[in-house]
Amino acid sequence: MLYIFIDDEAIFNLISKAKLQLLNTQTYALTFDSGESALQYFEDNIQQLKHEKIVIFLDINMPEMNGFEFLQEYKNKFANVLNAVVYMLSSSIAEVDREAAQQFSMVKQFYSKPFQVSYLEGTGNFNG
Amino acid sequence: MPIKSTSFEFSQFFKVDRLISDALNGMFDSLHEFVDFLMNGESINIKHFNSNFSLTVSDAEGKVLWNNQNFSALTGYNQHEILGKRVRDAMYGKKSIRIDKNYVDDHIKNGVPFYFENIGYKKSGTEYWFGVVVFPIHNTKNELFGRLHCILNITEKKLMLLSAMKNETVINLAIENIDTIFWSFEVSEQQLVLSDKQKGILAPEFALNIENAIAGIINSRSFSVDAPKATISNVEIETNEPEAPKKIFDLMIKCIEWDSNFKPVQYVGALHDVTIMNHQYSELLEKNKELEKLNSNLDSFVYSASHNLRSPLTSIKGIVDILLAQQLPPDDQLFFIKEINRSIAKLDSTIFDIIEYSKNTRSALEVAEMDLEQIINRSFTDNRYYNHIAIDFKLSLDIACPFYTDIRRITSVIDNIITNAIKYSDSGKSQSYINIHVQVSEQACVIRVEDNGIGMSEDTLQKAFKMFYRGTNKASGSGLGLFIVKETLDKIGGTIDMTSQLGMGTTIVITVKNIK
Repeated sequence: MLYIFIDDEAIFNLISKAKLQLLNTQTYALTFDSGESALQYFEDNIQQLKHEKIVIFLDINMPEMNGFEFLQEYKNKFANVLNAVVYMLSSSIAEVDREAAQQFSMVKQFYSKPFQVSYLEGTGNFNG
Repeated sequence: MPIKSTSFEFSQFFKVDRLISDALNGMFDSLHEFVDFLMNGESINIKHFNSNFSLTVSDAEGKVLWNNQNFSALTGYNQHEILGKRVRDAMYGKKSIRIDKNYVDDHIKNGVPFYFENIGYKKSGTEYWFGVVVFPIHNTKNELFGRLHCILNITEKKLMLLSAMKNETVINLAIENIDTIFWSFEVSEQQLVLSDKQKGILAPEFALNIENAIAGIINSRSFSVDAPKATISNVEIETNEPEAPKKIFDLMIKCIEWDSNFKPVQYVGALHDVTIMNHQYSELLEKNKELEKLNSNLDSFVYSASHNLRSPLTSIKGIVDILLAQQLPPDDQLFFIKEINRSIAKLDSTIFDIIEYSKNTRSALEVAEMDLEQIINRSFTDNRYYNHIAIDFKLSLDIACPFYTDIRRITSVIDNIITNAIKYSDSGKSQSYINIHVQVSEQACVIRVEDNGIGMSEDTLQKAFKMFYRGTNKASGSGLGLFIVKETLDKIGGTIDMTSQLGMGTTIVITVKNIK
């Protein structure tokens, strides 16, 4: 299982990663400070990632490419190739953002920041 | 002739009471014939005399010797009650005007009939108006014999007249108190006649402009018998007043007379001043637009502000979670505490920006003379080490006259722009620079800020002025800076123009009205 955190604010990635490691030091997690860099990583490592179960925690409010733009790009390029589920992880408490996230089938849940280890419950279900 | 022949031309009363003179004029050749008729009415052919008159004949002392039925009907007293009394005893009451005795006596003495109007009271107390002609009657010895009262009930006419006078007063009052010019226009003369009130008020040049405007419109249109009216909105007329060089009117035109070929002969109309109304209307539209903008801004504000305020808080929460869950080495603890500090600073800066935005929206302009050199230099000095890069700063000034604007707002704009130029300087370049050129004229101040910083992509440039938009995650702004700059410039009559190239640098040109 590969955990990926995408947030433009480094501190959030740090917090998420630290909390994940509190749970299990062996857990493997990657962090990206923009949607573009995450997509680039998928592009570059597509062969290895094909067989991996990926859990993405995604921020919404980011400069340049926001969370929804990332989802659209991912859907276009990788949805058929990679096996990933997405959990929105945002400071946003706006209903519109929740609704927008539901438009994407790979989005499983909408979580509020900061990352909590309880968010990992159920991340093993890959039915999307 | 038993009775002195007195001039008996009723037309001399024409002006006082047409009704009475019309009725009597030409029916009798002389006063004595008339009196004869009255005294011996039954024996004279009275078929021509359609008399609505109430008549009395009284002696020299004014005591009634005779009266006709009409008089009894008018006053409500029967003959027995009247005979021997004075006429006034049967007519006068509370509100009756006491006629000047000298006036009456003079006329009687000189044998001159006279007319007056007064309020009378019936026996029942009912009030009425009457008009009366009093004729002196002389005997053959030319001695005063008595008087003839020839009375008509004029209540209806009088009330109509009074109400008409009242109406006229109301209309005059209305005309005097509304911004409407009434006019008439004679086609043959091509001359406009204005209602009396306006003649005195309007400047001659303005009156001439009005005449030209109305004549122009009338001559360019046709007004037929079937369609004699037109209303034309928003007619602009120059006033020759420097304060209000133009007034706007609604013009109503009506043709009221045509010649035998159905060519218009005369027009009348009204010119209603709607300048203030128009002004207020456009003000209202502007206010409305402002409100709509505020409203939509508020929506996106609440959305974005809640995110921007929560974000640092959630980061603090996350760090605290970690610190509580784990015994970290002191160095790591310090690292996280510094991060908490950073988040607090960020939250504080967002709140500061929000207050700044609110101040700009709410507070009134305070115009004063600016020392731009000082404001710009201080702004740079205060922020120069933000990026820990040495920046070459040049300021050139071309100031022709003093510059007036709102000091707080212009300072906020300059601070924002210079801070941005410093924040987004490019550490990869061998020498970073910021060049500022200021040019002040009577009309405006133009500030040009040029840097060789990291620049922006076309896409970022497009969105740069949006509320809470952040172009990059390289800096930790609230996303409000340029939005506030734009809003602030709107307030002080300024514009901003930004050109940029990614990797090359950014040039910003701010133009602000000189509010002298």
